[in-house]
Amino acid sequence: MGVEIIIDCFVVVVVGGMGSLAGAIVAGLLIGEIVSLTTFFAPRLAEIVVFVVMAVVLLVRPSGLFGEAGLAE
Amino acid sequence: MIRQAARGLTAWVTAHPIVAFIVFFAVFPFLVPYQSLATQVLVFGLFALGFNLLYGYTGLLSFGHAAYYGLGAYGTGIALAKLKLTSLWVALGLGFGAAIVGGAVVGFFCLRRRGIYFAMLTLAFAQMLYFIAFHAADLTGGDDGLRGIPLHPLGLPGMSLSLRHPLAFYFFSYVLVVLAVAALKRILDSPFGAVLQAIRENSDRAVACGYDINRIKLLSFVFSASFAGLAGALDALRLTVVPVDSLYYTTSAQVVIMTLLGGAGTFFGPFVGAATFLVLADRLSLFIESWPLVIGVIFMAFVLFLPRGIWGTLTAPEGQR
Repeated sequence: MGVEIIIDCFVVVVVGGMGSLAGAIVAGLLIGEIVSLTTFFAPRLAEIVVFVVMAVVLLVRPSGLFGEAGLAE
Repeated sequence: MIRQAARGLTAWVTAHPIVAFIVFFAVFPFLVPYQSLATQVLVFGLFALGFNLLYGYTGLLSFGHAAYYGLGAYGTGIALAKLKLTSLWVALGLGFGAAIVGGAVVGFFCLRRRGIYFAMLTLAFAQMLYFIAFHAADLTGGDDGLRGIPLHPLGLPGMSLSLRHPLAFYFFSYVLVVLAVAALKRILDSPFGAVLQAIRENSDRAVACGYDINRIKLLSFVFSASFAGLAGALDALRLTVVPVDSLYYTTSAQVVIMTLLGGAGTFFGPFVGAATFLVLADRLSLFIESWPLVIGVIFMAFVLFLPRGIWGTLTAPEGQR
């Protein structure tokens, strides 16, 4: 009952950057595209790729793609 | 009168935690409806205890503790079911070791970030492990879970003990959990434990006092993961099957709920929370199908009105409830 989507939403917000509307839109499209493409080419990795993307983004850009540094820490 | 007696009792328990733990859990299996439930309380209490070390004492909210629990469970399960080892001790050790290694690797990456980002990273790693276990069906059994874990007799010096009887298994877990609780007490009473709480209260100040907080946080993370791993390893033996759900984030959420319900940052809170949660779940599921709803409401009531949790409220100083 919608538990899967909660996690995806969280991932999108964190990847886009907390408090950034544009970030949420861009990250939403980005994650959606990545998941769809991996589902097509490597279906087994489709579920993992969301978290790989999030882990990489957070480790490289701690506050997300469009987030301001220092928010929500 | 009753209130005073309760105060005296909780004060005594707080002063002698290990003795109280040994006494209470020696009679506990005879208080609950069936003995397997008592073992489940021990196992999840240990899991919550490990989580509490990280969340309650160090102030780091991990939302991926299922990873170490699952690593412990799969490590032990794979050692027995796939590698065909016959020694329970070696199998338990492998599960325990897998959780420590997993905790060290994940902690190394996650601890670079703080707050919500830390929580999300731990969740990300836990979910990755879940999907790896889900797809690596040759090794883990995939969606069916890892089945066919044989429960060999336990090798002790000069004898071997069958653990097939629920009570025998309970007391085997009991001994290990008592050792773990004593170890945690030792950790918390050491200067290291004091630094953990300093990090929780004010990490900038702990840095200013000259502590290498990244190393200390990592150590705390690894300790926490090792407790979770031991719990997972015991659970694999208890069920003789490892459901793939033990790595899923609902397991992580469950341990958060148990810890908060019992009282985060208190020594017995996690055990009180695990016992309350599991006994309630067991009893309620006899009457209503949607028992998680009832537990959810109780949990929300605690968070809103008694944020210290059950044990935290009982042991709070007078006038500070």
